[in-house]
Amino acid sequence: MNRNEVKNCLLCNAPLNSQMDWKRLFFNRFPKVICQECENQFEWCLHEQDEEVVSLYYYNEAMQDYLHRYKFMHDVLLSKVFREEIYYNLKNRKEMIVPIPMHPEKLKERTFSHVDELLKEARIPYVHLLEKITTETQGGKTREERMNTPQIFKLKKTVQVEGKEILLVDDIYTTGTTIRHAKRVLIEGGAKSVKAFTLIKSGFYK
Amino acid sequence: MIFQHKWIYYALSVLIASLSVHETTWLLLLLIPLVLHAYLIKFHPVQITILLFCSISVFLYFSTQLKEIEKPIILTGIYTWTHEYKVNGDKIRGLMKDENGRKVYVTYKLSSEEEKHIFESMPLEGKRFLVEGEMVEPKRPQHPYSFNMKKYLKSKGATGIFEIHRLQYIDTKSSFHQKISVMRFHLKKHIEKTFPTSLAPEAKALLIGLQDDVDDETTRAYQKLGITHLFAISGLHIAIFAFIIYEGLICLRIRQEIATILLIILLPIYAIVAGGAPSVWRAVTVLELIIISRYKRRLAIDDALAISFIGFVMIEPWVIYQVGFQLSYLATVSLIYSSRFLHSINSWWLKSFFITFVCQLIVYPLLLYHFYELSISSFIVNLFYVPLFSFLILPINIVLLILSFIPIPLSNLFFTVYEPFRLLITKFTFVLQSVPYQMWVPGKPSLFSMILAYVSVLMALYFIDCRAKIRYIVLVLLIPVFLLHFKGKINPHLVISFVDVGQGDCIVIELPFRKKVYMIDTGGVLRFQQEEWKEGTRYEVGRQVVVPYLKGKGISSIDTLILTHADSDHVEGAEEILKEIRVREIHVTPSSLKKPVMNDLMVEAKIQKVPIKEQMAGNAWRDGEVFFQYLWPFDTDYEGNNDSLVLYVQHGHFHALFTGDLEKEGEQKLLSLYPTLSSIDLLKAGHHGSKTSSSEEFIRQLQPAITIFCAGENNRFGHPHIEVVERFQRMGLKTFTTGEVGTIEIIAKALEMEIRTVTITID
Repeated sequence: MNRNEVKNCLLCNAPLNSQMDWKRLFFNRFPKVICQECENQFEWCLHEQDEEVVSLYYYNEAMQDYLHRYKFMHDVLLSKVFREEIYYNLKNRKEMIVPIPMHPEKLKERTFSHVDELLKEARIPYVHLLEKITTETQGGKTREERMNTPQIFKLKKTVQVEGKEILLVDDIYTTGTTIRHAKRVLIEGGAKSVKAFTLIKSGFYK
Repeated sequence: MIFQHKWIYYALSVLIASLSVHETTWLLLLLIPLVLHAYLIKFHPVQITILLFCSISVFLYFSTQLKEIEKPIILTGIYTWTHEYKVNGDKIRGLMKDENGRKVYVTYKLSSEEEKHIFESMPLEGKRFLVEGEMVEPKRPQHPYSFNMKKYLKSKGATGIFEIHRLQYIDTKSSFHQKISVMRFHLKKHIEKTFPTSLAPEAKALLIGLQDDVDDETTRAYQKLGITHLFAISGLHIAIFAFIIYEGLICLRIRQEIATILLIILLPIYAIVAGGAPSVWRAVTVLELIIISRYKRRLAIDDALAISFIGFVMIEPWVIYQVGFQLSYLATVSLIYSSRFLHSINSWWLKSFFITFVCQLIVYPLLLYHFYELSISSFIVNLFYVPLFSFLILPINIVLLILSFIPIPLSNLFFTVYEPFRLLITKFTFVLQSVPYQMWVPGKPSLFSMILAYVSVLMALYFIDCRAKIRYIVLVLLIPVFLLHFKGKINPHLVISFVDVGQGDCIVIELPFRKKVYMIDTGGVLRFQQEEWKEGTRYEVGRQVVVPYLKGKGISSIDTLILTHADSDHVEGAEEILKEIRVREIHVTPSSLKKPVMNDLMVEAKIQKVPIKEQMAGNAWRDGEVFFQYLWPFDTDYEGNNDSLVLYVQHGHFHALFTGDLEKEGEQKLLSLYPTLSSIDLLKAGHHGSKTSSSEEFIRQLQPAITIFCAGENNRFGHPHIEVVERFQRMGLKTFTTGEVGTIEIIAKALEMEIRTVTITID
C-alpha cells in the first residue's frame, strides 16, 4: 500500500495513527507523515498577512528544530511534512511559481535544494528564473546588514519575464531582503507583478 | 491497515441497506455515489467489490428479517416481557416478545389496585405470561407533526399493537441480561428510598438512565436550554465512569493489565444497568473496541465508531429510526472528524465552544426534523452546564450512591450539604430558561431542506477544517437557515386550519404571508374524577397536539387568541399553549372569565402580562386586506353556549363564519340581526354538529360551501349528529369532520378554496 508509506512520525517517531478529519473524508489527501502532537507544535500564521507576501507558519521552537533538521542535517524526507499545506495554498495560484534559487556551490554542499524539494513533494510545478550570484546567506546577519546587502540575484540568461505574473517561493521570510532583491531583478526584467509565498514568517519584528 | 479509516464506507452501506429495506428498494441507488466516492478516493478495486458485496448481502439479510416482523402473530400464546415497559395509571404499555423473539407493543388494562402493586413491585423483564388478546390498529396521528404510533412501532421493530385482555404468569426466563435488570430495579428502589425526593429523579436519570420521574417542567427547561443530552447517559458520562473505576482499581493496588480486563468486563454490565439506550451502547462499544484493539494494533477511533454502528444496525436494523441513536452517532461523527481542528485550539473556552458548536451543527437539521425548534442559547449554556454536570453533579451522584450503601447515615450529612446547592442550581436553571426568544422555531423541514441543510453543514465543517475564511463558513451556513426561517412566511393566501384535537375546537387562521396568526379556541380535555391509582400521566391536548402543530408549521407566536366561551373542550388547553407559544392578547366573551375552567389560564396570562379583553358584537377591525368582525354576543351575561363569540372573517370574495358552540336560539337571533348574511364559503358548524345547532333556516340562509364539524372520532355525544349531516347533504353542501379526516387545512385563494386533509399515511 503506497498510501501508507510512512508508518511513524517523521519528527518524533511515534507510531502514526492519523486522526481522520473532514478533509480526508471527502477528498483524497496526502497521507500524513507527522503525528498530531508534532503538528500542533507548529503555529499557524493566520493574521497580519498582506497581499504581497503570504506565509503559513510562525517561526517558533518547533519550526526552528524542523528547519535545522531539514536544511542543515540534510534530512530530505522532511520535505514531505508541509506538502499538503503547500499544495492547498498554491494549487490555485495563477502566477508562475518561481522558487528562490541556491548558489550551485551551496547546492553541492547541501546535496538538495530545500525550496525545490518542498514544491516537488507538494506536486506544484515551478520554473527557475533566477540565479544566485553570492554564496553568502542571509542567516546569521543582523537586520542592518541584511537591509544593506548588495543585489544577490540575476536573471537567468535565456528567460523571458516580460509581462508575467510571478509568485516567488522561499522557506522563510524575515526582513524581506531576499524577496525584495529577487523582486527587483524580476521587475527590472519586465515582470508585470511579483508576489511571494513563504512557509515561515520569522518573528524578527516581534 | 488496508481497512484503516475505511470502515465508515461499510457503515454507510449498512445504513443504506437498512433504509432501502424499510422505505423503498430504490434507495439502494444511493450506493452509487458511495462507491463512486470510494473510487475517487482511490479504493482498491478489490475493496470496492467487497463493499458492494457486503451491502447487497446485508440488504438481503435485512429483507428476510423484516419479512419475519410482518408475519401475523399468535393471539393466544406465551409472551415474554422486555425491559421496555411502563406502568402508568391503570395501564401497562411496553414491548413483549413472542416465542420466536419477535417484538410486539402490548397494552394491558389493570383491573385493580392490587394488580397494579404486583406489577410495580418487580421487574417484568424475562417474565413469561400466557396472554390472550387482539391486535388493534395504531391510531391515526392528528396531524403530520403529532406523535405517530406507526413510526414509533417501526423504530422499535415491533409488529403492531397487541391489546391484552387476559394474562397469566407462567415463569421467569433467567438470563444474564435479566439478572442485571433485576439489579437495576433494586438500584432504582434503593435510590428512591435513600435519596431525598428532590434529588432522586436526577440520580435515577444520571446513574441508571431512568428518566421517567424527571418532571415535565424540568425536562422542558432543559429542552429550552439545549442541555437534555446531559440527562442521557453517553460518551463523556461513560468516560468519567470508566475513569473512576480504573483509577479506583489502580488505587487499590491492582495491576494495570488486570484493571483493564476488569474494565472491559464491567463496561457492558454498566451499559445494561444504565438502561441500554443507544447512546450508552455506542459509548461503551467504542470504548471497548479501542481498549481491546490496543493489544494488537490500535484501531482508529473513527473506525471503532463505524464498527460499533455496523454491529448495532446488524442486530437491530430499525434502530436507525430512533432519535437517540441518530443524534448520538451523528454528534460523535462530528466530534471525531473535527478533533484535529479542536485539538489545535489553545483557549479552553474557545475549545469548549467549538465542541458544542460542531455537535450542534451536525444535529441541527435532525433536531428540527424531530422537534421543529432549536435552542439558540444552548451554544452558550452548554459551556457552563457540561462541566457542571460532568465534573460535579455526576461524580457527586456516584459518590452519594456509594455512600448510601453504608449503614451509617453518613450520606444524610452529605445530602444536607448537597441538596441546597443543587436546588440553587435548579432555581438558576429556571431563571435562565425564562429568558424569552431563546428558541428558534422554523418548523419541520421538508426533505429538500434537509438535504440542503446537510450539504451546507458538511461544507461548513470541511471549510472549518481547511481554515477557510469565516465569511465563507457563515455564508454557507446561513443559506439553509434563511430558507428554513422564511419558508412558512411566503404563502400569499389566507390559511385556515381546523386542528384535530379530538372532541373540541381549535382553529388556526394565518393571514397572507403569515403577517399575523389568530387562534380560535385551543381544544381541551374534559376530566372526570377517577380513583387515585388510575391516575397516570395526563393526556394534555394543548401540549401534545396543538403546540406541536404550531411549531411544526413554524409558528412561534399567536397575535390574538380568541376563546369563544368557557367550556373545557374549547379552552382547557389554553394555559398549556400560553406556556409554549407567545400570545399577544386574548379575546373572551363577556363574563366568561368567572368560570372556574378559566382559572389556570388567568394565572398564566397574569404571569406573562398577556392582556385579556372582553369582546362583543360590533367590534371589528382590519388587518391588511382581511376584515374581522364579532357578530355575537349582544349582552354581557354569560349563560353558556349561546353566549359564544361568533367571528366573521372576510378576505376579498372569501367569507367565513366561526360560530363557537352557538345553538339554535343564538342562530335564529343572528339571522334576524344580520339578514344580509349569506353565501358563506366556510362555516365552522356550531357545537360540533350537535342536533341543537345548524338549524334548517340557518344553513338555508348561509348556504355555506364548506362546513367543518370539529368533533372527535367516535365521541360519546355522537357528534356530528346524523340528522345534521343529512340536513347539509340534502342541500348539497359539503361537510368535513376533523375526527374522520384529521386536521383540515383550507387555503383561501382568490376564486377558489384548496382543501387539504391531513390523513397522512406513513411510508
